[in-house]
Amino acid sequence: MSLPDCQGCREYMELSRRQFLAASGGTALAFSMPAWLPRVVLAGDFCSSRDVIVSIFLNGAADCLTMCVPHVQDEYYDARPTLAIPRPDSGSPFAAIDLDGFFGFPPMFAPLLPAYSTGNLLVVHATGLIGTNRSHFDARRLMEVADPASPGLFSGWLGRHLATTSPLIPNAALRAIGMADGIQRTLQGGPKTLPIRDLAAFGLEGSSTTVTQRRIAMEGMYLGAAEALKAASETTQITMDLLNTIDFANYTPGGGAVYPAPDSSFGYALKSTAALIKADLGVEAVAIDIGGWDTHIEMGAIDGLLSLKLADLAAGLAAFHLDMASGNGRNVTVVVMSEFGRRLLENGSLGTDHGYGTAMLVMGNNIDGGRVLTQWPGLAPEQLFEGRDLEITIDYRDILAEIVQQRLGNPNLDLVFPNYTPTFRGVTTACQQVDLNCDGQENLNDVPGFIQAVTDSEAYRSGDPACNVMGADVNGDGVLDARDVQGFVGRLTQQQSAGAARPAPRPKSRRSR
Amino acid sequence: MKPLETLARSLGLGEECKQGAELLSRRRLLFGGSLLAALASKTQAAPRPSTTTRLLVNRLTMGWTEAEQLLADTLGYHGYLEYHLNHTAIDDSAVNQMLAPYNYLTYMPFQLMDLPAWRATNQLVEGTLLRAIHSKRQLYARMVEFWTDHFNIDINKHKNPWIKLVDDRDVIRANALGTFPALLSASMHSASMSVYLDNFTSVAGNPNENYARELLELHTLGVHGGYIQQDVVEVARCLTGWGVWEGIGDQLKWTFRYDPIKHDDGPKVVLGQQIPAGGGINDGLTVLNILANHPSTAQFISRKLCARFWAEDPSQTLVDAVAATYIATGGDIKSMLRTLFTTLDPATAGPKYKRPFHLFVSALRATGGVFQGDPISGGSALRAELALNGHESFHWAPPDGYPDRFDFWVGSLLPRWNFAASVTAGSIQGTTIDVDAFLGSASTAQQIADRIDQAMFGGQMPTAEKDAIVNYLLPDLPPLSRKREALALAISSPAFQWY
Repeated sequence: MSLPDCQGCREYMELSRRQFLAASGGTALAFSMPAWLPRVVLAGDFCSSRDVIVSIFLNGAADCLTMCVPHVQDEYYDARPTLAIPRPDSGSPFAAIDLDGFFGFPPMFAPLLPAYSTGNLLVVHATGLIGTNRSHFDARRLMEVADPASPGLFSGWLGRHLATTSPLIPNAALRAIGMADGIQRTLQGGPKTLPIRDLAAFGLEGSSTTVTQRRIAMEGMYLGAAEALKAASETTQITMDLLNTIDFANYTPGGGAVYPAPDSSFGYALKSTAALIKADLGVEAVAIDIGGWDTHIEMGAIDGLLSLKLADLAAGLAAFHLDMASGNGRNVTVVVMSEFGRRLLENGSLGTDHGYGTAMLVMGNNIDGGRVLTQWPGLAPEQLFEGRDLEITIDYRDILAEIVQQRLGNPNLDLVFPNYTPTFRGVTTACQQVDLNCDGQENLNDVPGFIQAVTDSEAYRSGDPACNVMGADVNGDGVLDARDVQGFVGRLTQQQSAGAARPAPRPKSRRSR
Repeated sequence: MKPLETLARSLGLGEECKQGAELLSRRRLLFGGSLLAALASKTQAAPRPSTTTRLLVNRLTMGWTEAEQLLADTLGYHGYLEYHLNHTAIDDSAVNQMLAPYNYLTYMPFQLMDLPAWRATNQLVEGTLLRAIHSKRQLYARMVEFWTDHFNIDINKHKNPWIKLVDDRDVIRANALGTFPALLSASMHSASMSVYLDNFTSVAGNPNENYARELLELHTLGVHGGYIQQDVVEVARCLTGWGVWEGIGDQLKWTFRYDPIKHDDGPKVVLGQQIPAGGGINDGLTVLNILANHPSTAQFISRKLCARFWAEDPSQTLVDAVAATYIATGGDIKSMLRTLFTTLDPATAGPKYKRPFHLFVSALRATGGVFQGDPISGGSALRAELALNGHESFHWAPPDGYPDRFDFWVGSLLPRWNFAASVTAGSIQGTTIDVDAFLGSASTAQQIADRIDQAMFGGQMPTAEKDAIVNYLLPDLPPLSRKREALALAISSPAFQWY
């Protein structure tokens, strides 16, 4: 059999062989199969396509009652005489856009309607971190660490996810980026993770005639450095080259998407993220922060500060969705969260104070969106948390855990969210399995089916029309081709390489790291 | 004794510093011969650098230099420690001269509030850099940094672009080598802290818990220090009314104010101690007393000190020793440092990873670099460079202060390498390294590498890293641009990231 002509097939073959050589041997099964596939072992029952994740944190406690307006609730209008978004049928130019007869979007969220109506945008309401104390610092830290039972824990949920799962692309030199000057807590603990404020400006300063020689000298110096320092140096060096292959300045978004510009740092961050993901270099997680949501004074929900920020957020997210959906790239799940919400009652300064329950946005293909997911607690005084704030009825970790397992393919939820048993809420649609002989299992018996699916899908389909050929679309781009090989190999060898990535059996005592 | 006095003076020891002179005379006895002659000729009578004094130089200063190493070996381990603990005796006129134009650092809030915020902030940030690089009172500079992190205030919050300058001077600097109870008291009375953690809005019936919580969790007992949520509430009640003078125009404005009308005067219970009703401002002073004398505070502060000055995860033995000193001396910081550096074998203290500020300062100190801030127009390029490294002074938002953990900083290498490249190329405006002066007569690749090794690493530069620099400098007699780049490599090298 011959592979279709594809760019990088040889590269895939090389990677496969290297991966096999790198994996700890002993457990590989001897099996007769095409030479370009390594020996594989059984894997668990996971999704076939793994998404890239973009985690966006709104710093300062964004007002969720403006982001998703409970427009049938009189209490909302009584409590916020100047800040409430007018009802959809009010005839006001600032009226809320009805979503489901109960909730509505503020008008500046209009750009999100296409994603919402096609079911790719989910709003989660009355969610958040249970037990938070209205302190920005504490709540943000605890939300990023995602283990309130371990106050000394230094790692973040996304960092732990990266540490407990094999790379999306085998041997990826760079797996995650925090778009900040220092790595965000969310990503702490993640291997091959760098803080990079500006993807387009990641290079070594100084004379361009000597830069290569200087880099080589530094590479030599760091060969003998302490392990983690050496790893950081290697990742940095490779990343400089990787990012250099991307022409950020001339990047053209797909689908005619237009990112907010020129004064939107969020728009800039998302646009570079899109370019980075489409380059498919191995980055599987990006963390972005947006500040300035702590609207104690003159909140401007209808026509002021908050409305401008929400417009920027929506425009950026909508452009990103359009951009990523159109290209021949990976699926991306975007999740937006904030440390807590804001008080129902507006204060004497035309603003709102710290609250409790908040909202999340989840966006992507394979998200069960087009609705507001909530167990709405109500806004009557006896229904409010401490008589003043929106309650929390869904722990935010439920949302993240489902994304981590179902969209990112990592079942190690006990390690990513320690001391917590999440409840899946139906955030994602059912996941594809790489079960190409349709026997209900993912194993080596699917290899022949996979080969046929990517090389001659017609023949595959004619074999058993009921069997889902698209399960072979491992990178989720809608096309069956050699680009799916890496992911397929990765999935079946996940057990083997996860043996290297997974930490040693967990000690009984709490990890204090 | 005359040569000794001359030496004492030239080393910056005050004339009245008999103790220093006595130490020198002990050294003289040990080494024999004239001390001055020994220093001048570097004969076998000269003190030999030891690993233990090297550790001390690294830990007590913001950057190892040959001069400090020489001083340390002259004074010996204990002598050098005492020298730096006795900070007020060290003549600091040179840096004070550089700081003279930084007049805002002497202002009260009512004078500061009329300035553009950025100007006040800039003088504070630059003043801090100047002192770290050029002050002779190096341990004092390190302690100022330590307490600045411990009692962290984000300069961008509310009125802090102005009033953090006052906190820096009257809380941190005034008490950095004093006692912890005095420092804590000053911080509790700090308008800047009150504004940063919202205590100035705290009022009876609606107490704000933010400051109370961080006071217990971050400033004194620590999260495992044995308090419960109710203690946070009760402390918040005790501190109602502890705020600032607002809305007035005179000299009091934005200084500490206790307002009895805002105070919750009911009875309280804090950490099991009953505080009767009607205590007024004494409620808060009682809390101060409880916290300052609490064994958990001794442990928590000691552990942080050990983590900063000895090892990232210090042994319980060391922490206990320092905590015992806290209890015995009422939180005397100098005594605690003395215990910290004289309990364990210095050879067992592993290296610590430099944070960006430390890297910058140590690079300039080792190369004789000069930072010339701009007190008028401000916004120095060095400050911007520090921001790119994520370590701009006073710009950490949460109250836990900039982390001092290897795993937090290790990923951010490229900004360090770029600082090295920029500072040696002379492209950081206002910050200069005279590379020719630094290298002196060294002209061949080996000579230059040797000079770098001596001045920056005390002759202990790892072979691989030194070879990389030699190879970079070849063929011999490299031009200035190449020498600058070699110096950048040295600053970027793995060995220079540790102290």
